[in-house]
Amino acid sequence: MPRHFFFSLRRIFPVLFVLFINACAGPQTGEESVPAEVGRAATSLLARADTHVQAGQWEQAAALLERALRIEPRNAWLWHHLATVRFRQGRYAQAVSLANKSSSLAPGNTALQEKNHRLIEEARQAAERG
Amino acid sequence: MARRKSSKPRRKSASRRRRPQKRRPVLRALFTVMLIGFVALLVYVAWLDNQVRQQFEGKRWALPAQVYARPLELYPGQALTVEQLQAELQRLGYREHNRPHQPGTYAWLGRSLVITTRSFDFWDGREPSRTLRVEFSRRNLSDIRRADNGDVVDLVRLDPSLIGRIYPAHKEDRVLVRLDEVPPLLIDALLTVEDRDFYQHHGVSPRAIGRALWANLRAGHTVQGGSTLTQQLVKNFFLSNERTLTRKLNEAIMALLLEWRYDKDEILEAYLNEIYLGQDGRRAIHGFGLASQFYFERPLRQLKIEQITLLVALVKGPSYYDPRRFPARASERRDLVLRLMTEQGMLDSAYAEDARGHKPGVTPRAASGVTRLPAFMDLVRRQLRRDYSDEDLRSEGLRIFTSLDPEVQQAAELALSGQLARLPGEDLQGGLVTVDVNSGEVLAVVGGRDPRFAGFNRALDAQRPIGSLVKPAIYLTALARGDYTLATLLDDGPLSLDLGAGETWQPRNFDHLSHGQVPLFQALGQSYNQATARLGLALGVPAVLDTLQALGIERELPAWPAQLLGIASLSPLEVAQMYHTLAAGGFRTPLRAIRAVLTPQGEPLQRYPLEVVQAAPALPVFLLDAALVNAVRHGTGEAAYRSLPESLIVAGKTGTTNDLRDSWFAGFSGDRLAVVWLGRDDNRPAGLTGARGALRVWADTLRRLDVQSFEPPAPLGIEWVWVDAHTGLRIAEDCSSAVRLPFAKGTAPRERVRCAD
Repeated sequence: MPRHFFFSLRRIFPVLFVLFINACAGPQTGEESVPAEVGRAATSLLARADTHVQAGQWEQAAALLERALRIEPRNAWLWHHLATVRFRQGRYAQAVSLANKSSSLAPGNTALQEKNHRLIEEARQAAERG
Repeated sequence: MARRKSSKPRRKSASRRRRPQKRRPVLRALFTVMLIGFVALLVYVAWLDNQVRQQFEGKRWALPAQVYARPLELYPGQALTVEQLQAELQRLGYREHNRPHQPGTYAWLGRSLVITTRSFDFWDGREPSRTLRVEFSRRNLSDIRRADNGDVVDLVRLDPSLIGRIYPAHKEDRVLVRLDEVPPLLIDALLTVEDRDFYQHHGVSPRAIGRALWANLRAGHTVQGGSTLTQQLVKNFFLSNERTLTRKLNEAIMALLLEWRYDKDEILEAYLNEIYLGQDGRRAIHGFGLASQFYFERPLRQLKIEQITLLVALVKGPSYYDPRRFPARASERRDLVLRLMTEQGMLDSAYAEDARGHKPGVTPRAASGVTRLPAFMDLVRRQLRRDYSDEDLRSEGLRIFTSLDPEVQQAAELALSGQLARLPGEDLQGGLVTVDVNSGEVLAVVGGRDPRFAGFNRALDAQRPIGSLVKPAIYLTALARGDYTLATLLDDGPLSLDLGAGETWQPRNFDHLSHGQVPLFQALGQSYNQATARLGLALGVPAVLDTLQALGIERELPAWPAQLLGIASLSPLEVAQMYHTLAAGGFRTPLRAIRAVLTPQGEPLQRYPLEVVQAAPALPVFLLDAALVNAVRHGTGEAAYRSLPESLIVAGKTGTTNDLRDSWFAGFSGDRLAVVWLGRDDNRPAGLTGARGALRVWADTLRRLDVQSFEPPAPLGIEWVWVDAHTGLRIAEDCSSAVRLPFAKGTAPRERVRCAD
């Protein structure tokens, strides 16, 4: 009985966690459609990374995003995704750095700049809360 | 009396009671001391046991770790030529076949390739084997489809090439041998000379000690040691030349412990793989397997009698009997081994006589290491030891995925050895590191002019004054302050600084001329020492050192004025770290050679992910990078365009040190960064400036690769203005002295100057 309970909890925990994060009005990038400026190869990796994000498997997600970045190293969206993964992982300092890196690669993209800006703010606040 | 009487018994009884109490403490104390002593001894022995067992277990390896290069990813739109893919297939050992349906086969149909890939387990999952049709346009891979149903494939990852096998828990290369692979003659010779009672004793041999004592007494000096193989093995575990009684005692206890824990064959096998048999610069040669490669360039089982006995002769003192430096001594000792063997009936005297007549055939120069990429492997080994736990590294059969790019490595090797061959001096040496600008991954390392030679790794270990390579840190410090622009005029007049104690510091320009007032970007581009030193002093040496640290130089540097001219000694790898931060827009990423490590079960060991730190604000880095682009286009790096296409934008800096001892170049394109050092190992002048030496190697490396222009996105608030190279004032675009430079909005020069021509 307790075993049962434990197992079911473990199964739904990532879902709960994602819901919780989303409910906190955190930066939502994992779920939305991929912007057109990401090529097909990187898009397929991004999609796979997203399934890991849904499952709370942050390192697997990060590994795939890094792989996507090797294909499109100057793609600010990919950097932003990696920043988001680090944010959800609770690695706030990295999230801030990566979001800054993302913004530095897309000086004209105000939408993305805005997203990065929000992510940085939230990461700073979360870091302060400890 | 009664009182006495009464008092006496009382005293007596009291004393009777007291006496045992008086004695007991002594006994008890003695007992306690003995107990403590005994426990301490037990603890000590247990500690020794633990130590020696750790060493022994750590040195018994069966399966080495496999080290892989980066896998090649294929995707539509990729900048990849037919030739590049063909070269990769060759490296991977894919075979051409009419019907390429087996994994690892391919066929070309004009410019389209049909290939069946191999499946491979990566750290992020399995890549399945697939039969694909790959199409190329002129410079790109244009399309990938499944051969069976024509479905488009977005991304394919080929299996990575195996670049080496290493024992990551060890600092050195090993060529391990199993006991049953070792020629019996070697074991006979070894036991005859070093430990005749090996299979009888328990780790320590009183008989051998007695025999050695007797022999030494008779000879009047030490001719024989009484150490058993087990003792020698223990001694080898804890290499130190200390010759104290405690040490001997410890060795003896540990030898007994080893014998108690392991059987004779295990100990012998460990001995054969562990014993120290030579030195190659910093690289220690351990074990008969590696020694065989090192002295004869052939595997152990191919050795002849005269060679086997020579190796056994070396056990006594590899440097004293070094067959390359002291061939006579080594032969004499080998003849002694042969004689002892015939005396003991281990070798027919006719064979011994024949062996004595043959030269052992030691190769004239230390053979190259066991890997084709000794310098890169060296970096992998160091990063493994730095970033992973010893315990993890000891596991058998790890798979290590690195960032080595075979194409870049080949380009770097050809460039370095090719350019060195054209420059005067056979002993001119060099080191080169190539890094991916975007990821901070190390793509190639060359440690010397012979890239197969596993000796001194100059890319990592040659620490040389960096000269003018330090200058970007000074100019970045200035630009980050906000009151300097690329056009700010600097005074290049003569400079003399009183250092106190009667000493003065007088930096001079390379051409021994002063250039008056020069715009900041020109002072960097032309590498003027006087202007730079004056600027650095105005900013303060500590501020410059702070910038260096932010860029990734971890070494503590004293705040001397001479730092401004690059007296700091750094390795090419450290310089690469610093310049990488500049190439990456001010974001610092620790340079990595390892992507992942997997256990044989496919479990990833803790991974070191891509990390970035904003080390310097983006805007001043952008300005500085523009000045470094100018330094190659119109400054000291100009000669790069003798081999690079005009249209390619690259950035970089030359470095030259006093008396032309060191020739440096550090620079980057949009995707590749390379740092090159040339010089002599003994620090004698190389006779080369940065531009005449290292720059050529750098440009040749980039020329061989299909690199991208360095065109970083401009941060917000940048404007581009044409300025005069002499005055730093605005000038018409079509003037010959006009240079287009970026400025933070509102800081560009306002005044205009007319064309001089």
